[in-house]
Amino acid sequence: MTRPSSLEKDEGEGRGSATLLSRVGVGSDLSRLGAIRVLVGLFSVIYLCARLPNFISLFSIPTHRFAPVGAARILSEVMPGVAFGLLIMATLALSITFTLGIGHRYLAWAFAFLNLLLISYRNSWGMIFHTENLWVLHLFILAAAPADRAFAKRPSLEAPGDQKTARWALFFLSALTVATYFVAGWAKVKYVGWTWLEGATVQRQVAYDNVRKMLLGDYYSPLGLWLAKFDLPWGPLAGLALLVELGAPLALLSARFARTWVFLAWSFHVGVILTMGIFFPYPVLGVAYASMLPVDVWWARYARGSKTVAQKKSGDFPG
Amino acid sequence: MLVVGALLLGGTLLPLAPKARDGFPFSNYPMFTSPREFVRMTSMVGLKEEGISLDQGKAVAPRDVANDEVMLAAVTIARAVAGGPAAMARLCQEVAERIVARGNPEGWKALVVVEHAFAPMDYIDQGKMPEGSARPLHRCSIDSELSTTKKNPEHSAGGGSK
Repeated sequence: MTRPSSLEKDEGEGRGSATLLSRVGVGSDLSRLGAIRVLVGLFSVIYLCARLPNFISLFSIPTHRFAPVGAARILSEVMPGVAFGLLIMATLALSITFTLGIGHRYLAWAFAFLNLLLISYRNSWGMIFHTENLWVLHLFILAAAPADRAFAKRPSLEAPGDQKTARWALFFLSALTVATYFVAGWAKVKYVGWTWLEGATVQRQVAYDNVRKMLLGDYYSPLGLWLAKFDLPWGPLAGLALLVELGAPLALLSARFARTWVFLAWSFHVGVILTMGIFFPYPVLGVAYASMLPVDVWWARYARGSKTVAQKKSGDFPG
Repeated sequence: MLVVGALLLGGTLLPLAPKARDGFPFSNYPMFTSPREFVRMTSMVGLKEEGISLDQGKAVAPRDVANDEVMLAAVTIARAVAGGPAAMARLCQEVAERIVARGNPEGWKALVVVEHAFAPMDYIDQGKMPEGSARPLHRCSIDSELSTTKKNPEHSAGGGSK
């Protein structure tokens, strides 16, 4: 099995050259890991900020509805408002240090654990959401990895064995991603059987989900309701969805498989938005798949391109 | 790294086991695994007048039931229904108090916990909910002036509370 980290080595054309923030050479495993840390960190900062109203709204839910899951099971009762407020602020602050690569060795672990507690707490009111699992898990891999050697405010020096650890970190990031899809696909076959491929289950689910949202006064997808009238599309769509999920481990075999799978998986999520209005931000924004893509190389190219444009502009308008 | 990675990967794959349940952060991702040929779902409806039909009501906003998460609101109502009349009465009271607290802008006089039983594809075919698919389970009135609510189990929109 080829590790995802070895993907696109040929694209590391800037390897060894001085880059904007990287000392380890664009295209190396450490470089890619650093770029992923920034992407996941930025996602975390933005997501946590966007979720603030939702977190705050938890205060208004009657305490008897508290049903702890995950890390929130350590709590015997609802958190006092001050403690929950501190948890939110600390997690948000740590997401910023994580993004900048500050104090990564210890603060990244603190961020991963506090984030797990915060998101577990959010899921502890009767409904377990499935939009944040992979993000929460990826943070632990990045905390355990030398993800601050590149693309950091003050990149820490490379230590012996870092490249090997980075390679494993990239592998586990990708393996966790494909594992979540595989488990989801397995559940469909386990609970419904291979008849799931006929498409009727998806068709009814899309119909039900949209009608339910209408009855609950939420946004729904008119496209999904319209499409549910026709039987024809749902068989192929179900087949494609199951191919993406059960075929996910193939993405670990080669760079080409990985890219193809990433495109299909991303398309799957876009389809879910269009037909059901359900937005999974971590994969839709591409962050979930960053370990399978040469994100550091792209970043370096973008930075080089921006620099060239800036130089041209300053040449056009000297002085 | 190997230990952390192996533990997380093992935890992620653990729900492949036969009796796995949904959890966090390790889930069996049960989405899209129900046949949904015929479904029963619950909602809450606000009524502007006493005695009018449920069709003339309007869905209570998720934030009045739980928070801005519509799915959390749906599960909250479903759990109250599963909990029986006392749990439904408690939820109805809580929601009514929230609506009153923000001034009852819709001018509702009553809230009804409703059960909808229907085949999703019937809705798709007919373009509307099938006749008789909605059944009131519990009703409570809203008294905005007193900023309090009164449960009225005898008088239910559509015919008595459960």
